[in-house]
Amino acid sequence: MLFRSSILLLLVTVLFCSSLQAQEKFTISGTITDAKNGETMIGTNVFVEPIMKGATTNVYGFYSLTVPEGDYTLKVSFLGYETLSQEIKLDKNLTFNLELQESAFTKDEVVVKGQKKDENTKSSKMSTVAIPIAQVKELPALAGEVDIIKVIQLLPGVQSGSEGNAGLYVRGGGPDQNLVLLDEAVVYNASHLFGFLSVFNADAIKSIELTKGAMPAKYGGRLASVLDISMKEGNKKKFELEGGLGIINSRLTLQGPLVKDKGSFIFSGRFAYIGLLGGAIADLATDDDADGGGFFAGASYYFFDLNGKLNYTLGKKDRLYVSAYWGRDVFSFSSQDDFTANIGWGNATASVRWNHIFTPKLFMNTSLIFSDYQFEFGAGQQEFDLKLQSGIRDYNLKLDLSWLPDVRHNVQFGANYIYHTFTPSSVSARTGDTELDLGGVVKYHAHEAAIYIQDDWDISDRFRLNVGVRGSLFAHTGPFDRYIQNEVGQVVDTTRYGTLENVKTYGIAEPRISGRAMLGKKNSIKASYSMNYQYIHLASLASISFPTDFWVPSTDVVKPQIGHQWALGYFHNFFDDKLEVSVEGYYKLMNNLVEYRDGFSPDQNINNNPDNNFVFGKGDSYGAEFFIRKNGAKFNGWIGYTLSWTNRVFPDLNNGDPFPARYDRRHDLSVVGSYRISKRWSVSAVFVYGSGGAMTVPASRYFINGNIVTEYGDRNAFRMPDYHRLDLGATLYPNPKKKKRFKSTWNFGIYNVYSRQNPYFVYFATEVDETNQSVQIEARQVSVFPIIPSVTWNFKF
Amino acid sequence: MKNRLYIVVLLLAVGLGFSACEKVLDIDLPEGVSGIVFEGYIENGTFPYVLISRSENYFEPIETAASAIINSIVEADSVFIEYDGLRVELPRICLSDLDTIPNLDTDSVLDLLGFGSFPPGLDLCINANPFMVGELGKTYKMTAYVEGEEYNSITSIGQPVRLDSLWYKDELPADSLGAIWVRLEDPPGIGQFYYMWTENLTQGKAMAPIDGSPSFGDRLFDGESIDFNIFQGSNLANDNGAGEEYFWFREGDTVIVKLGIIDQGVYDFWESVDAASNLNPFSSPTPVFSNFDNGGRGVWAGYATTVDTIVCVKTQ
Repeated sequence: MLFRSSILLLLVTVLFCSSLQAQEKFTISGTITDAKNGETMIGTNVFVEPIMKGATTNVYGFYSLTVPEGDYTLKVSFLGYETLSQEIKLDKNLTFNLELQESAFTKDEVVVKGQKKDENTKSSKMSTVAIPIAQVKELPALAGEVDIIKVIQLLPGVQSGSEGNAGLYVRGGGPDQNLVLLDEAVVYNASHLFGFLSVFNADAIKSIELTKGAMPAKYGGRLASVLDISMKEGNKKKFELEGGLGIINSRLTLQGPLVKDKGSFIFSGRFAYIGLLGGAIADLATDDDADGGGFFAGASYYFFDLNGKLNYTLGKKDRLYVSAYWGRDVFSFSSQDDFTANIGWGNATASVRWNHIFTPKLFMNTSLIFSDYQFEFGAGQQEFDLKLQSGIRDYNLKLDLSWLPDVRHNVQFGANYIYHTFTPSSVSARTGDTELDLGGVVKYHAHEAAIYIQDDWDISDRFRLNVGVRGSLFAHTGPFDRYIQNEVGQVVDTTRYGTLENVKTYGIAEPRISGRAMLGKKNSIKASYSMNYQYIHLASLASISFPTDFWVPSTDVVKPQIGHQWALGYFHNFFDDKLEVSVEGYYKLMNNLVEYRDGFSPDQNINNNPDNNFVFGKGDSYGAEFFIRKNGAKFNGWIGYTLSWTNRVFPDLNNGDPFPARYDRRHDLSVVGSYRISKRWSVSAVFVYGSGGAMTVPASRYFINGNIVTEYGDRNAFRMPDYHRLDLGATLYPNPKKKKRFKSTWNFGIYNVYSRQNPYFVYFATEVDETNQSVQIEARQVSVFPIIPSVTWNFKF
Repeated sequence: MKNRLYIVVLLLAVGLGFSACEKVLDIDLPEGVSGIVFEGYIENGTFPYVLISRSENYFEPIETAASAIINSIVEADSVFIEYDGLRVELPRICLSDLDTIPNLDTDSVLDLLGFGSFPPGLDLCINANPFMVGELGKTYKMTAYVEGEEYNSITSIGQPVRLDSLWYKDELPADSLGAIWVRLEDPPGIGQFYYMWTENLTQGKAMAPIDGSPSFGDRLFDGESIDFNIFQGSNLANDNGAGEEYFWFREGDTVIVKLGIIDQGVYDFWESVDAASNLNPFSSPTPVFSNFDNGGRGVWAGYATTVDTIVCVKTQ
């Protein structure tokens, strides 16, 4: 009922406001592309003088602007590009497909490009940040490995799980509460190397946008954030080969036209060095630990990413995109004591998208999307063999329409259906000749559907409102066996559901609203409220996300997670929008959060439903984020500071008392800057500071059977030492003036310049002296990344 | 297996070409909550006893394990066991009193408590009744009055299960070390919980829980016959001569293997002790369960046991 009323209200508002203005109107529409390579440009500002009404290009570079009949100057502007002006006489609908030239100053230089100048203050969006990929590539990185997720972690409100970890924790949300999209396909585990590197190859990425709150109605299914990543489309003008050699991996990207100015392709690959990793592990283990040396002597490791994308303009109104990603990590080892293990995991995604322009005011995108994440573990020792598999696979059909009835409204609506197949944890094992009864492969099936409508309504020059609603529906269906447990946890009965039989259905209308009021020409306040439902959950035992974590659906036992977020912000731009300053406060409530119960061990999922081992609770998070960003031709950077609190309450954990979340961090500061010294050199620096992470420490001990039994204190009551680090980088552009086709750059970096010993983890060691049976117990901090110099060579021709 | 995965992660971090660094932290740690701890056992054919102690601050230095145990012992006001409508007291008995008590001598008591030897000059006191023995199929309620508080717990001695067969297998070709393999025929019906010990007569190692997971349930092999290997265990308090080879049996060893049936409460306790001692740096801490009420720690455990003796001779 609420949902129907919301849609009606929206439609009435839009239609009423449109019909008020009787003067005849016409539409200017088209696509904006980069003159250099034909890539469509996202977020370009298209406006008409003198009435100063404008629109912004969508993710496919399309814009539409409906204004009264008249003579205008059409202006198209984008940071780092020449502003394009064109006189127009508007007495009919016009189509302008325009190409923007890089500004003379920035040609052949890497400067930050990629956003509308006054987006910060004028948009109704808040809690949203776009990071230009050029800037990501300029910043110093761990081992010289450019990683977009690690740059995202430098934004206020975003944290990493631990040192070097490529997980995202946004405004007190967990790692499963981020919707990570690569060309609209969900990436369920965005990390390589057990979390040290993300799966996104910066050479294949065109744009990155993070939404931390006030989530637009077109997004759903997660509580904390949306990380929307678009892959490059490929150069439509000429063939281009680029690549790089780094410490950990090497990259190669080939792009070029399929048919000049009509279609293009891009293929990009990234491969880790196998020998270095395997060899280093083996050497380390051999040196430090005789036993471990045997254990890891046969270790090998490699990973790779492959990105590919094709696009083709079918006609004036139709365009087709096909994109795919495949990545895999493979780790194997064998020891002298006959222990062997093979671990493999990876994502695969594919999207087919069709853009169609029905009318200059109505744009449609239809997507057919495939997402897959699989983890496999096989181990054996002597007579014992174990195989474990988990994963999630989605088939997703999505329809998105943009209707721009007039200059004051941008209405987006659409529908989405996802068929999920979860393999939470399927285990098989054998000891001797006995096959252990581990329940075989268990799959969960679920159907998720959503419809949404939202209007970005420019009420007046002062007020702008983005109001929307998302109706979501989730059904867990059979085949499914629900194991019924008695009070002591033994399975005593089974309820069996047949194929497509409904196990449990959930549905809700999720309202989303955000508004902006201009206070002056360059400053505004914004406020937002959003409600989100999350129907899938990540079952994680560890304090950081591991590939072993698996996804489970909402079921008859697990209710959807529910999030409410309120935010209020002040935004002010200075110096012709070159300096952006903002402060945002937020408060977030989360219900039906999921954790494993105390005392859980993974074998308890066998012959049982994993959700029978879950406990449920709620959480809140609140804080303030301060952000100062400088956008310029020579100097770019930002300072982000977050003051925040994140708490959890689970009746079945910590005696029911509230406790800080593992990623509760009181202070978080990032200072990021890059400076172009000359045409040959640019330098960059990153400084981060964060309050120590929360952890639980032992409080008491006693003896049972002559051995020490440890009793832990309050959950997450102890703080690790503070974290801080300075990284420096420099990029050399040899022969920048030469017009040679072959170009190369050298990236030099120093990670952790003053070699701060930051805590990777803290553990408590019990040292027994066998001679006199004395026992020493002490807290020890392990740090893994001291000062690390790096060099990376990149080329392009 | 899972722990090995975490080791892999750490080694990967280090293997990236960097060196891990470790330092001792000097930090303010929370004061531990002091609680009463019970370690009580009753087994078919043996007398019941309970060691009552107090939990200590985790970081309190331990001079020796034996002295730490002695220093943590608490004198109970009284301890009783109820079964079959009877109420029997477990009086306090100290090593120094043993001369006056029939059926008991110092060595057998130390063996029972898991101490290979005991430092001279120290006295160890437990609550025990050497005049009663545990019986199969009976339920025993313990009530202890300690420092003005009452603590209760119930356990039972179920029906024992005997191992089908045992054999020794030379696991490491290069030397004479190996493991004992056992075949267990699990009776049908989920909910059977087991506990295992070994006593190595040749090496002079007292009866101690096997290494790894001495407690296990039949959830994964209900009603089936299962073969698995076992290694001898250790504890801080006995003279275990620990080293690389400690857990292996040697060719020629005479070993007593004891198999016990335990109830769910006792199983949950041992499982939680096992989980709490196998934490990795990224895991959430695991609380240790107890089958005592009123905040009492520890366990009151009934065991229905059978024993087998094996001489470790290679089978081809």
